[in-house]
Amino acid sequence: MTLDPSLALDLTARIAAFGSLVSTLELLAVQREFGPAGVFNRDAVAALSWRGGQNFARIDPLIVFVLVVQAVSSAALAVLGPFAIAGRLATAVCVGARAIGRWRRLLGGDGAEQITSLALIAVALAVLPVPGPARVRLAVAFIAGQLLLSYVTAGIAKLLSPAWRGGTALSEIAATETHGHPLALGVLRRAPRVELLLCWTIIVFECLIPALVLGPVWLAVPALAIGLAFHIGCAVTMGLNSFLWAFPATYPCVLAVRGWLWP
Amino acid sequence: MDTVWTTVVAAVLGSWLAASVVHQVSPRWWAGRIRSDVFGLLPRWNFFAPRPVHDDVHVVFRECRGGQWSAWQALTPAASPRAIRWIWNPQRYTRKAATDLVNGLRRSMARFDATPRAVLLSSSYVGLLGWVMGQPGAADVTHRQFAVLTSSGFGPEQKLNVLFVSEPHSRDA
Repeated sequence: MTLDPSLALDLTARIAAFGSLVSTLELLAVQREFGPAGVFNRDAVAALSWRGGQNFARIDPLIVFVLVVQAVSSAALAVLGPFAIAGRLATAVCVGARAIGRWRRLLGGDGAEQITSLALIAVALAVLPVPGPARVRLAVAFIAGQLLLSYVTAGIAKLLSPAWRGGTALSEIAATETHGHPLALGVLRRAPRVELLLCWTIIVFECLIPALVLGPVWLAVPALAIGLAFHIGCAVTMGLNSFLWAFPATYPCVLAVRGWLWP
Repeated sequence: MDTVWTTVVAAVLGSWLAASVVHQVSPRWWAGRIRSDVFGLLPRWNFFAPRPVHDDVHVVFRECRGGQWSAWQALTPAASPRAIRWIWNPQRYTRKAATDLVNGLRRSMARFDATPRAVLLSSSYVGLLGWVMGQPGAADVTHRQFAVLTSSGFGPEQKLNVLFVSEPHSRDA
């Protein structure tokens, strides 16, 4: 099973853009947080900024406009794809609007936001001003590389963690309101061996994922399916809804790179 | 022309990926160079490790009016309902921002263990204070004070802990 790099980048851009649309609509739903009483208020965020805090006053009257532009360009990219002329314009606008919004907000970012930004910037470099086949392949390799780096780093960090090795990490997470669930906490507390097994399954899966997804197709496709199921599970139990789009969005690029290794 | 652009893109993406690898380890010489990644372009991929998330943070504040302190009021919003947060979770931004500020405060508290009042000058303290002082209030409110609580567990088994209590701050300052 091989995936053409252009098709892979097209799929990645569309799914990432859909995730960007959902996240931007969420930001619009809490736009009051950019006001004087919000956690992203200018004075609070400027205290954290080395430079640029003085420029927040200029962007603040426009922040809702920037978010609306981000939402519209994300939707356009998701529908049109990155290769059409209008899609290329949407890509450039989306990347620019996301950068302004992130710079102004500074706080509240996460890994899903980061990998979406990395993927969309790579897409922009591949298709602007006009798509180039070599640049498309470079972008596909970069996105796949970042995905594999993310899983391996997460796996190694967990391997170094006493809480993960000892099988208590999941119940610690499940005990929080933000990422936990009373039902999951109850199950894990009643079955500590199951929790230990789950912790080690996650560690091993994350550490070995490059070997799995870059291996033969009978390994790669099930491994990516498990990855997708993992992110669905994290969304349902932990509320990590943005990860549901951000990480699986990059899977087509991994499949394309796998195709280069196993033509 | 396209060859030149392709070479530039290859250099940018190659360097970016290499920098991302180094950033996972962040040796001292690297941390000194990467002071402020305001666009979040250098990822850190150690999700929930080595120390997994183990508590929720709650920022609360109270006001002084006519020499009397009010009850504590919650500033951190409740989490989005579990039934929908797998697809729609806008409160995650506010709650994550509060957690970012509190984690910065925790680092400052650890760093300034010997001189605790130095925490007042930390960017996280100033950021939290800016959030608290930005809340609307009556004209006769003279001071505000904030605290950071942590919690874990649910229902009657929930454990609460007071992590930090700020100094009272004048609203005129």
